Amino acid sequence: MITPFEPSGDAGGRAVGQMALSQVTPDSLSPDAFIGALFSTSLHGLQVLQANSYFYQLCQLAPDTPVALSALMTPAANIMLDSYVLPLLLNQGGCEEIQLTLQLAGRDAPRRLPVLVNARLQRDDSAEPRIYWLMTLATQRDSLYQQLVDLRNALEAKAERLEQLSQTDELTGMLNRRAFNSRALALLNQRQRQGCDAVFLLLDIDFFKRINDSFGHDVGDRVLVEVAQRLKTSCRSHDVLARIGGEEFAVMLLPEQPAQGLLLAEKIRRLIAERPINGLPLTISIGIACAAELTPPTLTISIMQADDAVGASSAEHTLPDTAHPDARHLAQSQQLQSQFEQLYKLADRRLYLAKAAGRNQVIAVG
Amino acid sequence: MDSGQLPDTAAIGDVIQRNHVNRRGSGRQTLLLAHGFGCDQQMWRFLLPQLENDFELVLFDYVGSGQADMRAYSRSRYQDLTGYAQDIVDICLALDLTDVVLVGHSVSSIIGLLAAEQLGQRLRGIVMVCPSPCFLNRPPQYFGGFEATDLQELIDLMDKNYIGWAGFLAPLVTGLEQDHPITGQLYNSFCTTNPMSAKTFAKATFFSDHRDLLPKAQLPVLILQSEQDALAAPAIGQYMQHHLPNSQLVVIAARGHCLHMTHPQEVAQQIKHFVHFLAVAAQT
Repeated sequence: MITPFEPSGDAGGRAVGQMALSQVTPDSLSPDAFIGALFSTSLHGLQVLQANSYFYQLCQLAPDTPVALSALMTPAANIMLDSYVLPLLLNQGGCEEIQLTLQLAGRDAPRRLPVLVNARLQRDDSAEPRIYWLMTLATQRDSLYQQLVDLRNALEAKAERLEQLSQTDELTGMLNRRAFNSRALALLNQRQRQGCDAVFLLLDIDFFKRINDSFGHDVGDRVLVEVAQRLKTSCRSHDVLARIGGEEFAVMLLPEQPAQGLLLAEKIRRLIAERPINGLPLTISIGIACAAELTPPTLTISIMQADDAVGASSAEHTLPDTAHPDARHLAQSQQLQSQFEQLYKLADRRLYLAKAAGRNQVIAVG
Repeated sequence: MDSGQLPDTAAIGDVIQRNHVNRRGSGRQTLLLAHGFGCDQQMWRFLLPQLENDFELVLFDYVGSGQADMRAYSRSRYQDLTGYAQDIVDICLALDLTDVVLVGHSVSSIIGLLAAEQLGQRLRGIVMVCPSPCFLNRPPQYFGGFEATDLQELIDLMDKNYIGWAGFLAPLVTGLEQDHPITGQLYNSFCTTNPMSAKTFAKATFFSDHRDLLPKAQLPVLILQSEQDALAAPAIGQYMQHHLPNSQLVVIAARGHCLHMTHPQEVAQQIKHFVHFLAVAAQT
């Protein structure tokens, strides 16, 4: 006599267990004594061969109904069976704690029940291979897991948003100084691998303090937004540009032609000077420095270049065995950082020269 | 850098490294092999011996899969299929590939169509292995095979079973014959995945609907369909052929969603026929 299985959370599970236990003698180790589905299937087609009474109760089937495991599972659980559980069984001989979903007939729509399975593949030369399964309800574990999944999704979304905020200058929507530094280092690294130049532009709006003092910060802010806008329209999408201080902007680019950095700077200077912003005539001063001007490449770079020349994709192959990858990485990043600082100093000095020479200038030497 | 834009010439080296691009074989025709969800370029290894004497082969991993550079990963770029299509475009431009035939598995067939919109003449044709333009049911006209709740459940089950964490995500091989000679090998082919990027790719794959691309695609397409495929039923192959103006459908007597792994000889043969067909069509 099979009672229709109606799990309603914990109580439902216990009810089944109690019912099953009441049917067996206390010292029996009959499969029907267990609160859990025990069953075997064929490997091919997953046809159920033998099962205890709990299995049929759980699956709402009359005892010994011929059925394939896949017919009891949701489409998603069937994909998991095919692409995850079976590969594990065939490859490792068994698997444990796999969560799947039963799909059972409900009054209106199919009912989904989360279950946990352990399974073992039995191969015997004399007989067809069989899979032995243990399946239990996992309703509570599933709701806890769902909470964890939801929580992690929410945290990931928040982390992404925070990361974006931490890299953005709120007023202009450009990269901020911190983000600029890390992207500039990445460009310098790319430049080393490709043996091209990198150009650094440091830009400062002339007499900006006067605007703030005379017209207020909101006018100053509007000026900054418009200058940022004109900078964006002058640059290519893959150039790195940022607002790195009050009225100070920076651009780093890998030029395709030698004069490209200078031409860009001149274009920006003209674009700012030719049209007033908020009714105010404005100018900008620009200092330029090129990576090619700096001290010659060190040993690390020459190793990387030699490596590129033989077509290897990673520098690790040609480094001596004694060089730890972390050490190599550290040396490389320190070297990039020092290059970046040298570039910055050089551009800053030339920006100062541009200011001293009467502003509204581009200076690339000295 | 705005990832939506084409790379300038300076970025070539980076695309090669970024997408872990590998070139093999030799021949006048170049094939670009694009892996599907849940795997990486490893999934082509059964097909390579069948092709490398006749073709130049370009293999790669999408950013977020295999040995591609995770530093280049951006969830916003790869949350829909256009980001993956941009990887293909970047590779074709970086290597200056012309007259390429793209071989795409499953979702990469559709990614290939998206890339074709930008690549124009660089792309000669696409071989689609077990494609589906949309996994979702859109009644009454279209039945992709799954309800949104099924696919959400699949993503949740992948989460709850720690598939990504275990570094163990076998390709979605469904219904493979147990006695197939390569079964043992196949089930050893675990692909490298990152859980976060795998989930993003899963969502982009399962919830996309690119049926609108089909009638617009003018380039020649070969559809290789499996007779029994839990992810792409025969009706889906017919739907694709009906809506792609310049397409051929070949149904291979097989079970499963990874014909290039389970039936590499048949797939290679069909690719060779298709390339020959393209050459003849170009002459006339």
